Parts: sequence; structure tokens; C-alpha cells
Amino acid sequence: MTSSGTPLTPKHGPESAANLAVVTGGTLTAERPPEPPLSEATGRPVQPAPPVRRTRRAPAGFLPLAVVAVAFLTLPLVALVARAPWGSLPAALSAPGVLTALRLSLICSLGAVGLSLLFGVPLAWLLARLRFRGRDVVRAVVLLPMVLPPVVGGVALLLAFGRNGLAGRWLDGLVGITLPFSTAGAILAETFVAMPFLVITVEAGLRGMDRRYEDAAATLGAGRWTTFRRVTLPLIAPSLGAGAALCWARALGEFGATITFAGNLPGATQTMPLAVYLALQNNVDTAVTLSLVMLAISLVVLVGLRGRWFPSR
Amino acid sequence: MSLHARVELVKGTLALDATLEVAGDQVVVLLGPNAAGKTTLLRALAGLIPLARGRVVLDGTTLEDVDQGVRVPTDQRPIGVVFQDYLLFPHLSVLDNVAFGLRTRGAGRRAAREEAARWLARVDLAPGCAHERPKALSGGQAQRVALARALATRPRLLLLDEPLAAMDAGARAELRRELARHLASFEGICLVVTHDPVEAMTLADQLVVLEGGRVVQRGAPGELASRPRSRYVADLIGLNLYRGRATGARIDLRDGGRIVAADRVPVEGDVYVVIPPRAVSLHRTHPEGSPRNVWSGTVAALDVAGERIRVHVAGVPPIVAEVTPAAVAALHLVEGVPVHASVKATEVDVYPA
Repeated sequence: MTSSGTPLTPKHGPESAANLAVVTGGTLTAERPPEPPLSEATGRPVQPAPPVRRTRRAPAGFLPLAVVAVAFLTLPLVALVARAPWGSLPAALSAPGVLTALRLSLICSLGAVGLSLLFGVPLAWLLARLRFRGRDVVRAVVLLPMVLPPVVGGVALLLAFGRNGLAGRWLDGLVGITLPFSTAGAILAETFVAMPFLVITVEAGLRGMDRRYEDAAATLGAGRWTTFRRVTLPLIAPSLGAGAALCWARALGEFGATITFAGNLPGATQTMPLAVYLALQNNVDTAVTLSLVMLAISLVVLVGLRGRWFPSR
Repeated sequence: MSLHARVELVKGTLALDATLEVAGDQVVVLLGPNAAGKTTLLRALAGLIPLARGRVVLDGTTLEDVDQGVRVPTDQRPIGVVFQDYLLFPHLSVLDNVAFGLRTRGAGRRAAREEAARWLARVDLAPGCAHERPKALSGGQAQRVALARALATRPRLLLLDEPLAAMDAGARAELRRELARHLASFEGICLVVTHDPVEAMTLADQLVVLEGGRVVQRGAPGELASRPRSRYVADLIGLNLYRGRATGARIDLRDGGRIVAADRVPVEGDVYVVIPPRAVSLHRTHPEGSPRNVWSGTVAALDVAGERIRVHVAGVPPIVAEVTPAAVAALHLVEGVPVHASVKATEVDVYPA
């Protein structure tokens, strides 16, 4: 109860009109109530808190450095677009080599995403949910290909799955599967490099979700598999999508491990990046055209992920 | 229906050691302060936390028995749970939330949805809400959906964790009446966790008070209200509670002071003493007359309780008196004022500890 004659202004209630105006209007400054409220203790008007206006002044030198960074990152792309042989683009795009490389790239990168999902999601689940000895070691090993130079990955793959490799010898001799210099080999190389991106993203998603939803599912009679399929997966869908997209982008651009392990055979292992590199040796226009196609694909992925990675504020 | 549970486990700093015996379709309310282990006990019964020792037997079926190595996983227990913040699946519609438990138990999609719609109608949820996402619901609606989801699988043991905690005071009374109605018609055993005494008193057939992981008192709500056995319960009910040793009609209190009861106390030895705050009179001068319990102290605090004022008197023993605002004004009672408290011996209730 207040003894003051002034009714309490809406400043105090969460349902107040002033606060609602802030929320719905999306402005930073609250609409000032017509009269300042009276303090219950002193009876004097309460000083309304000044509208929060954070100083957003960057440390000295940050602005020019940031401008340089942006220029550095955009200039090459601008050059690429500027150099594009726009007139002959349709012809260049329909050249048989281009389409073959594009098709192969899609097959290989989607194959890599498929393998990464199949093996990477269970792995991420184990890393996120189970405590076991050596978990940190397993995680480090799994994430190693992210920082490993891809060429080194290619050499390592060759030593493991090459004809005379550790596992390759057995695969070749007993099962009759030869991986190097085959499309399957290219998929394997891309998976090796790209899967960690999926694992790390999905693991973060699993750690971030409220596990009590899984408890709720269990109390409703859902077994472990049903719970995973009907509750866990939908709840981590954003992470799963982001992880898959990252993984796919990485696989699509993969060069070093693929050329080292799978070689550069047109139609079998010559993916877009390899084709670009090769074209640059004798036909710059083709190289630029292929590069533009990949730039377009990257942009599409980026726009698709915008909401997930960069929540626009 | 019957439930026999002995739950022993350690979780963090909590050492839970509690026994529950329920016979018949009762509503048992678990009452206790924060961190008393109420929710942990509920989760243990649901099979979400393994027991360290003990067993859970529902209707003759052993759900868990540490000695025999039996442990039925949560998804195979005939239970329904309403979680504190409901945990409605955000990616499913209200209808599919309720249908979830029916689907996992083998119902087809269409049959499960039809059954779910019937349950939504039973908890008085507007049919228009069925296709909303849970995010669009009000707190009261979400609570109804959570109840429908738990009831739809026709559990034999229904566990509710602070079902009304998320409600604002206005909606609470109405929802409490509604909940009482649903629980009364529920065929099975119902366990409700709460720290709200009104909720406890209105819902419970049996009250179990948990403190520090142990059951400190159990019984019918009325019995508990008139004869509390812990400071927590006494404070909830608003009674003065003391522990002491009875000799004849005289009780020497454990923490100092002495109280005289009307007649010879029926028990000798360790007893509880209860004095209702309304039975305490306050005086500025030493009162003459019949009250046999008179002691002095100072006013430590005043707070408003409905149309009365509760005056906390620091003395030996300390006591809370409930007086009218007029009395407070007449006696000029403010913090720090010396007063005398008097209690008639006939108002003192004594029972064995």
C-alpha cells in the first residue's frame, strides 16, 4: 500500500505498458512514464534510471585494421567475379569436362556427408553422453584431421588403404576392393577430412540440449532408440544441419587428400577443385568459370546457415 | 493398488533414505523444503536414478530390487510423470505430445491421435490448442497438456513434481481444484511433490514430510497440521513447536524455558509441545490472573498474516503470538519493546516425540 496520491506508474509491473512498448517496439529506450513514481520510503520522486546506452567506441586502431581485413577477404572474390568470361559462360559451363567434374564433386561430397552422418552421429553421441576412459584421447584423434594438412591425410590414407597399405592389402587381396584412384577412394578422402566438422558440431548440440526431454520420453515408454529418433534428433536438428552443411562444404572443397590418395582421373576422381587447378594451367577461363560455380555453391550454403550461425540481432 | 518402496541413494550432498508404503488408490503428497530430496525420490521411483540400496514394488511387481539385481528400465515401468516445467516436446504439436506415450506403446498414429484428443478434452483444453506447438500455450494450458500426456498411457503410478509451481497465484487456486478433481478420479497411486502447504493439505490423502533426505513425519493432513513433528512443518502451519521432557504436567524445554500443560501429561519423557499463536496473549506489564505460563521477552519482529499480525517475541522460549492490529496499536508494539507472553495451560498440546 502506498500512502502517496500518485498511482504507481507502470515502471514496476512486468506487464506494464511501458515495458511492453520496449519489447514489442524493439527500441532501446523505454517510453518514459508521464510522472516519476514516488518512493515508498521517502515519498520523493524516484529518479528513473537513464536509458541504457552502451558506449560502442572501438579501441584505437581497430577500425582501420578491420577495414583492411574485410578488403583482404573480399578483394579476391571481386577479382574472380570481375575476371569472369560472362559472354562465354554458358558455353564454358556446358563443356563436357565441367559437368563431369561437377557431377563427381556432388557425388563425392554428398557421399562423404552420408558416411559422416552414418558414423559421425553415433560417435558424437558416445563422446557427448558416455564417460569412458580415454574419451579425451578419442576426441583428439577424431578432431586431428581438422588441423592436419590435407596432403598429409592423403599420404596417411595411402599407407592405410593403398594397395600395399595396412588395411588396403587385406581389402585388395581378400575382398577385391581397390580404393586408391577410384571414386570410392575420393569419397573416403573427403570423409576423412570432413567428418570431424560434423562430429564436433553434433557433439556440441548434444551437450547443449536439455537431457530431461529424454527422461520425459522414457517415462512415456520410449526405449533408447525411439527416444533418440523421436526426441533427441529433432531437438538437435539445428546442430545436425549446421554440422552436415559444414561437413559438406569442407568435402566439396577438398583438394589435398583427394589428389594424393585418389589421384586426378577425369570422371573417376577429378572433382571440381582438382579440375580448377588443372584448368588454370592451360585455360584460365575454364578455371574461372569452375571457380564461380563453387563460389555460388558456397554462397548458397552460407545463406542457408545464416540463421543458425549468425542469429541476426 | 499398493506401493512399497525403500529408496536409498546418494546424490551430491543429499543422502536419501526414505520408505513409502501406500495401500489403495491414494494421493500421497511429499512435502519438504528445498533440497530435501523430494524430486530425487520421484526420479528414483521413475527409474531415472538407480537405487544404491532398497527396492520398489508396485502392485506386487518388483520394479527394482538391488539385492536381487532387478531393475526395470523407466520405459517399461507403468508410470506417468508430470515434470516441474512439464517438458512438453517443443518440436511436436500438443496433440502429438499427448499421443507420444500411446505411440510408443504400439498404437497406430491415427488411433493414438484420437485417444489423445479425448484426453485433451478430459483436461478441458480447448480443441483449438491441439495443433499448436507447446510454446504457444499459457502456463495453465501447458500444465493440462502435461497431465493429459502422463494420464494417457494409463499409468498405475502417477508422479507429479511441483505441478503448480510454475503458475501465478491467480491461476493457481483454480488449477489446484482442477488437479484435485483429476487426481481423485485417477485409478492408481498418485505421488505429488510440493513445498506449498495449501497444495499439500488440499490434495493429500496421506502426507509424507521429507527433510534432509529422510522422512520426518507421515500421516493424514489434519493429524500433521495439529501435531507437527518438525520445525519445518510447524512453520508451514504457523504453530509454535517445542521439544522437551515432560514430568507430570511440567515440560522442561530442550532449548531452555518451561511450559505447563493443563492436566498430567499422558506421557512422560521426550515430548513435542505445540502452542497455537492465537492462544498467546501479550501484555506490557506482568499479567495477573489465571494463565499459568507467563514469561518475558522483547518484540523481535512483526509481520502481517491476513487480518492478524504475527508478533515474534524473543524470550526463553521464543514464541510467536497472533494478535489484532488494534492490540498492536494499543500496546505500542514495535521491534525492541519488552513484553510478557502468556499462554493458558489448556491451550498447550503435548504429544510423545
